[in-house]
Amino acid sequence: MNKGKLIKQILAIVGVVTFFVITNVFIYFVFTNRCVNDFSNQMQAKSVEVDEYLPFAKETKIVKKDAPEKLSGDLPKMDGAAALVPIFNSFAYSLYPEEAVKYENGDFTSDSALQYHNTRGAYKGIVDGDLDIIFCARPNDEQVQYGLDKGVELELTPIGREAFVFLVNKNNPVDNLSMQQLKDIFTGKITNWKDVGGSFRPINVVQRNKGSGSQTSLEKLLGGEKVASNFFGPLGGSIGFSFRFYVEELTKHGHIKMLSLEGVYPDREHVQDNSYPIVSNFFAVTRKGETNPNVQKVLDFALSPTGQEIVNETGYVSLT
Amino acid sequence: MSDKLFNRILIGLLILGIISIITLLIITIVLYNQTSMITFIEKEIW
Repeated sequence: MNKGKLIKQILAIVGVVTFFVITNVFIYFVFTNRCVNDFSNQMQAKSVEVDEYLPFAKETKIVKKDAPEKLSGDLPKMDGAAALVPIFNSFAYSLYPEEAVKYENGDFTSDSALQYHNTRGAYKGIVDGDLDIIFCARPNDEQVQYGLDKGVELELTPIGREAFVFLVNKNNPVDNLSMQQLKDIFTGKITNWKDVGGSFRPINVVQRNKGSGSQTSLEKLLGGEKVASNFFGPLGGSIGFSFRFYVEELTKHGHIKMLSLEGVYPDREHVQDNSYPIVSNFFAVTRKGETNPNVQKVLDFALSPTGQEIVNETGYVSLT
Repeated sequence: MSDKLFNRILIGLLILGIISIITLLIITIVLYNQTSMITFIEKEIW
């Protein structure tokens, strides 16, 4: 056996193994590891675990305020977006008798006056008649159309305000974007961070599920233009979006930061004085022509000084 | 090592390597659909 040939064969085998090991390690650290949900304390603190916000639990994170009187009779079924669970669960505490909220085995029972199906499920539920009042961001065109197809017109009552914010990794050197740059990034006209004052790195536009509150807000912002993904984006630096309340704590302790828009940082103060460019209302959504008088009583409470205090003390910004 | 054995080992390793990459990519896609946007951005390597 030729010794030189044997060495070449062994080197070829080692080379092939090394190539695949390096490729797999690269894929794992650049992609796979980033997709594993983080269960750090900061993430746990901000991700909405419904059982931590139950209105009548012994240990609950909701703001507790008493309404002048509890509702009786036909109690409206409430539901809404994940980010607004702390608010409408607090309303339930103020307005509903304890026995109206039934939570068993990690979920609300079907006859509970409080439910949780997140934005998409809530919009479907109110149109189908399974829910009576939901707390969400504005519906998208499909959700409005779903209602119209079933002969249901939705009525939106603003109950608070919030900044729509854009997120990047803390190490991304970009801190601020103009509104035009932002739109150009999401519509694919700008595809590299160097074009907005950052480093030479592709921009990765991250999106949420269609029908989620923040995805709908993004689509409204783009005014009908479609979100464009950059093919090389996953190798670059990401930009995502959410609502301020949902991520504010994470920006202090985590590894993300919120971007300023037109030089204005999206803190509470700039939402209140309307100087941040994208401040949007969130709503109590009801069916037009609703006949249950308790639905109006929930709306009245949400807009009352006590209801607005709940909005503020939960961490959002009240209407006034 | 005979050429025949060498070729078999090499082809076997190539097949295993390709399977490992495809498996990792499938796992990544499944996880990506379950992960939060914030986690994905937080763990970005800069």
